[in-house]
Amino acid sequence: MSRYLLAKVARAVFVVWAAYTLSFILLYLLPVNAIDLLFDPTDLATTTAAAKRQIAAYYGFNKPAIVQYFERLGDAFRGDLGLSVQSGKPVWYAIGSVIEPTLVLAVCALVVAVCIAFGIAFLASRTRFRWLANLLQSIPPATVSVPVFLIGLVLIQVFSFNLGWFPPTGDSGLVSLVLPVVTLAIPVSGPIAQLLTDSFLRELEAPYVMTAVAKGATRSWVLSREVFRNASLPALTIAGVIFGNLLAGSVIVETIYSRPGMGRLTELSVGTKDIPVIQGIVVVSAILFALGNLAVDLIYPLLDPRLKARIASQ
Amino acid sequence: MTTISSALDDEPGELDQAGPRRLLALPVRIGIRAARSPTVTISWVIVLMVIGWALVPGLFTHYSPYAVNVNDAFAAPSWQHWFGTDELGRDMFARVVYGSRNSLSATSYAVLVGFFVGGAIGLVSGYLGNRVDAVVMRFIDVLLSVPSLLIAMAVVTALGYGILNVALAVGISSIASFARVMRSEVIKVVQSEYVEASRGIGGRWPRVLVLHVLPNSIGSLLSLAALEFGTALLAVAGLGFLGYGAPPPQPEWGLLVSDGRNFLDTYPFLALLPGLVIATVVLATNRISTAGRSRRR
Amino acid sequence: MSEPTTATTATTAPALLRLENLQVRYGSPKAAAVDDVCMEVWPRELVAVVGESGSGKTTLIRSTLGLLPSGGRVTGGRIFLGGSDVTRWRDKQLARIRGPFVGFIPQDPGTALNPVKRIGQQVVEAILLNDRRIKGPVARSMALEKLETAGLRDVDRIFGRYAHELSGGMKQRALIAIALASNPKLLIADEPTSSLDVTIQKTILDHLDRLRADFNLGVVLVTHDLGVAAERSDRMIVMQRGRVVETGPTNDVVAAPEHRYTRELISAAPSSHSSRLVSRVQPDGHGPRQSVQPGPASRTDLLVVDSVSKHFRVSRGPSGSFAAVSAASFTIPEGTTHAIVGESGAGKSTIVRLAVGLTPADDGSVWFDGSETTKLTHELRREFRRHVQFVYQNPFSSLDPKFTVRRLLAEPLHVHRAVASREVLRERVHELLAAVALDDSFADRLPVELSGGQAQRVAIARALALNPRLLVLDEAVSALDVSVQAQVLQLLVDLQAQHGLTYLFVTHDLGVVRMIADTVSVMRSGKFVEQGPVERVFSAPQDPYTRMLIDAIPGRAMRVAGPAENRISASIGAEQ
Repeated sequence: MSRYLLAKVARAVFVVWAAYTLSFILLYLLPVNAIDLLFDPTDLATTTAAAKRQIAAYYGFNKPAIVQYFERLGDAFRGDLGLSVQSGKPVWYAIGSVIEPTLVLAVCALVVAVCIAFGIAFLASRTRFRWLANLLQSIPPATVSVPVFLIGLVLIQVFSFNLGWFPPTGDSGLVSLVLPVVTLAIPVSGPIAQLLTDSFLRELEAPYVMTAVAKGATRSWVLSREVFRNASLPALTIAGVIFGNLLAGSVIVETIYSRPGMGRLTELSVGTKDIPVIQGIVVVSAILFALGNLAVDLIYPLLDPRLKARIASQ
Repeated sequence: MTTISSALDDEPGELDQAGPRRLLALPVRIGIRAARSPTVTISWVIVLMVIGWALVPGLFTHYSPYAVNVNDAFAAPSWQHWFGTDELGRDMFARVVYGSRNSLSATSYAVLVGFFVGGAIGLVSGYLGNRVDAVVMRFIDVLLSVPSLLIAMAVVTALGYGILNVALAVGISSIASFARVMRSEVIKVVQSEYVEASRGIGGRWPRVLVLHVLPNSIGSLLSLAALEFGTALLAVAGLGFLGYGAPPPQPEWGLLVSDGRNFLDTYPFLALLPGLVIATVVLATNRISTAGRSRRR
Repeated sequence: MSEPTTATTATTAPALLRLENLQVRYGSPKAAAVDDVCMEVWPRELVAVVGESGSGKTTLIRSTLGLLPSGGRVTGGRIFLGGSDVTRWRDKQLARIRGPFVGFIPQDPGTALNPVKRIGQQVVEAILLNDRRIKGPVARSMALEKLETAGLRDVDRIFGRYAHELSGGMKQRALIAIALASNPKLLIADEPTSSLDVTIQKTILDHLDRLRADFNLGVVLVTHDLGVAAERSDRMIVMQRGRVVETGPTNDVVAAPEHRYTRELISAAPSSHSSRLVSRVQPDGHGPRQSVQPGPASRTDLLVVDSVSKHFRVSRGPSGSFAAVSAASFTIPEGTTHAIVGESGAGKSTIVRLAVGLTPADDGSVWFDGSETTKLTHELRREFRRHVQFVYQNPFSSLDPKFTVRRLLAEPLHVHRAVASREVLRERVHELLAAVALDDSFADRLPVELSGGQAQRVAIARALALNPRLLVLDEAVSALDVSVQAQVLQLLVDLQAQHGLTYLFVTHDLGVVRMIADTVSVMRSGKFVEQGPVERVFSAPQDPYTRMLIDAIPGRAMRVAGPAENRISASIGAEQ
């Protein structure tokens, strides 16, 4: 068991390190002239070569790539991801000040999405009517096909402009959270609902279900007591995809609703080419992903005795 | 033992159909299949039409996407202007039709990058196995650990704005999923008995790879490509919406929605209709992808 | 409509199960899966439903429980359980009699238990589902009692186990405990032992017999194995393509089958009294080794396996490896068949892979045609591979699904550049198809367009393409229905006589060994416990394990000629 734990932790650390390294290569080495990216394109023509050199020295660009890498990695290891080019403040500060609203948004959206997904899966496998099951099963592929921004715009159009129930933009308490959460939850629920529906229907055909029916179980008993756990377990395996959808969705959702958050920060930083911040965001999301995956890896064996046995035998 | 014997069931009815069915002419077969699943047919029609827009936009609209007519600004959708006109009086349908070239070519490049790079990585990794596989899979793990939109945004930052860079960015961010699917398919095929049988006959690896492994593993990759086409189109549109794609006078689907967003409370059709086109095309490609997957099952 | 349980009275008790002209269809246009079937089951009676795959036997008994898969429905006739017509009952009504009136033992114990629930929990649920008044601790002790009734020992420990921690036989007993949980009057068992080893099959069936006597149970036993049916049942129903072709007291059916299909089944079924099949053809001189003459004296040993061993590591540490095969030796004279027989996990597959060099041995040596295989030059090694060909258990996984039969058969010829032109290739494919009794129309089919028997013939034809000397048949007929199995075995015998082939035949089925092998090695836990000529091993087994295996072969009843004698042996089986 402890070997399993150790291997999983090592994997998490490796993922974060590799994300750092890849983003370093991508953002610091790949651009032909990384220094130019630090300037506003309109200012670039008027900036003197001396000023550029000065800036390069300040950010450490004049050193060889490998030296830069290890210096920055060392700093990052101590928790220093550099300074934001735009604001001059530490990257940690820039990210730290906006991470909370994004986490609130993401967690709420995840909860709503999981509820939607289970609702669809349950109804689709519970109903006697084939047309209803078919209709329900066609919802998940539809939700992943609609661009997040379109969902957002339609919701604003209907619920803010036409009905006036919720504010279209801003961050003023719970009311302003409703539309962003729903906007984000819809596309996130798609893959989960798809997977759950498929696996509910597949598990219903499993021989152990017949055993249960033969011993006198009714359909709803079978669904809730026999199938539920077996069918839900695979959903944990797409935790990574869900996480990616949440983060990617938050970029667009926060832009549409003009909410502060990591997504909005990403968008602004790409717009201003704030490389240290972008790298910081990449690393932070890799950390979040690694932690999430670690949690899944630790929970899974508790839910599935077969996996537990396999780990124990290793 | 009995579990397999049910798979070995003699089904004379199906056997007898197999022969003559292959003799039917291609159009007849397409017709039969079309009648069997109308949603897939509609999906193909949509996709082919949109490809038509991109190749010969002039056939589908006689308006220019750039012609300004301030007197006719913000016209609601009508017979004359199917999708209405924007703040400069430009015909929105024409902008959507001409915009398809930008959006679709970027999406196609992105999928091609993912398909070939990801497919090759998956093939090599699954085929060689052992250490190569372990290293490649860790690399793929890392790519999967960062949301693909974030990867794409980082790539755009490094390479600069523009529709081609967006295409490359989206392509790179999809490599991981292509590689993973290809790898698992290849591993499954390489371990199959028919590959072992072919080796036992004396077939050398290159021959087995080309004749058995590739044909039996490429199918899943193709239907993934159809699925990824939808995902990539959404990503391209998303990046366009954020303003990283084609520069403004050019029409591009994501950009059209973004432009229309400014007039959402007064003229919602400006943003919603192009958005609906994107959704329709993605839905169509997803349907085609799932149809391809279920047919192979 | 009254509950069937209350309808049962001592004086005029109705049949536990009665089917009247039952008809079941899947979808509307297709032919009925079950058509016009009548049957009755009375208390303390065991009725066997026998048929091959596709005969509708599983559909039949599932419909009696209302457990048809989606799409299937009863389209005619009536089903009575304990006197009540349940044909039109809804799921909720049926749920009330499933358990207390009729218990069900499913086909594959490996998947029929919920993998994430403890065994005890599943038995407790079976009790509580049908009687909610029972309190937790009482239900627990009842469940333990049921597990004991099902023949499990150490039930306190098993109660807390998960399915994956039990062996196949233990799982099947746990399923029996679940079926018995609410004291049913009728037990329906769908191929309950077909995925288990013969020795375990015997103990499970013995136990079912005992339960039947102890609890006055009526039992429906669905099986593909005529031997099992003949040995265990009071009455027998033989099904083919959804219809009953023959029914009656088991002794009568076995002793004097009336229908042609039943006769075929009986003659095709391998059993302990089967005899070696005789070739229907003469050697034609086209074979690769024309010098081979029948008669053991002139034969040379083609394959000699000399005390090979193989260990596999399962975990770290000095004790962390187990011997898959230890010091195993056998010899196959050219032109004969050697069978390796054993139950699952005996190491059969490993010894075969060692013998043909697919897995390197830790110890010992293998000699093929006089030379040691590990010391062959690259060129000779390729030659050796060419001379040794495989036929696998499942043809659908050993034939590339994207290749037509023609391409499949041509592949070995291409690889070895054995054909000069298209015409020669066409001719050779024709020859190969003809050799396995398929006509040329099969050449353009894909594997999915073949039946199991046809696909296995193609696999054999492919193995023959390079004129090999040794064919390795790894459970090559195990997945086939008995009638198809008999045809393929006959084909193999004919091919052997024609081409002077040598077979290494791996199987779990002793009956099949009787039909095809000259010599046999009995394997258990990686060791050969007995070797020798088939006749000798079967008539005078030396090792207790061999004796146990032979005793466990079902269908000894079929050999007995007279019905009177037969009855005796059947009742002995019931009392054991």
